[in-house]
Amino acid sequence: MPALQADEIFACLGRHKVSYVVIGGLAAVLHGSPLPTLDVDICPSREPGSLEGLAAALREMDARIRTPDSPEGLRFACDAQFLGSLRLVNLVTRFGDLDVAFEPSGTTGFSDLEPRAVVMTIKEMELRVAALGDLIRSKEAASRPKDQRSLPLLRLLLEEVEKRRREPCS
Amino acid sequence: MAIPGAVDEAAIREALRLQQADPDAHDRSLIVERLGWTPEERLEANATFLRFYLSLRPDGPLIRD
Repeated sequence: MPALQADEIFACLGRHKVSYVVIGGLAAVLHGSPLPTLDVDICPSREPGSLEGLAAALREMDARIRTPDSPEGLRFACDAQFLGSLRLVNLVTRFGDLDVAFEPSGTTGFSDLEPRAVVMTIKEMELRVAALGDLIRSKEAASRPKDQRSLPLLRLLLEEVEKRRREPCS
Repeated sequence: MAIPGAVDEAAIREALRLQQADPDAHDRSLIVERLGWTPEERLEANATFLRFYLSLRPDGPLIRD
């Protein structure tokens, strides 16, 4: 299993001018969650130029479709048309696992998440990270066992962040 | 004055009382610690954990959810 190099994934997406919002466990980590995560999740725009960029970035990262039976993943014809036909794809890349969700549970996708996304700077890259409230909303909608496990901690994090907003000096 | 190396029974009792009174206290303390970091430091902490994890289990987790 390749070690996750999230910054390399973000750099590659940036080089190819992909419009996306970071979602999932890594977005929660970036907000301050102590729950570690093994992969990067993104919600990309379906805008044609961005899809072309995403396809090019995935080819550069040698992205393959992750399956339980083949750790190295399955090769696929990675182009904008194929990506545009998907709702979700779990990939393995040379920088670690990358999950691409065009319509995360409880949302309608990039245009839904982007207006409230928080801009964070990582190694001089400006990342748009889904708002904590949206991450919680999405996990509540998905309601899988792993979502149920992480929700109490995310709610605690939101409570702490909101407390600091109300009392900035505490 | 506390003697170095001596067990502070009262402090231990108070710590245990606080842990039992507020089961979220530990999680909250982890969150508070991370809110004091930059997003880049939070990302690095995640990467450090993964490097440690993969040093123990190079094939990654037995199950992925």
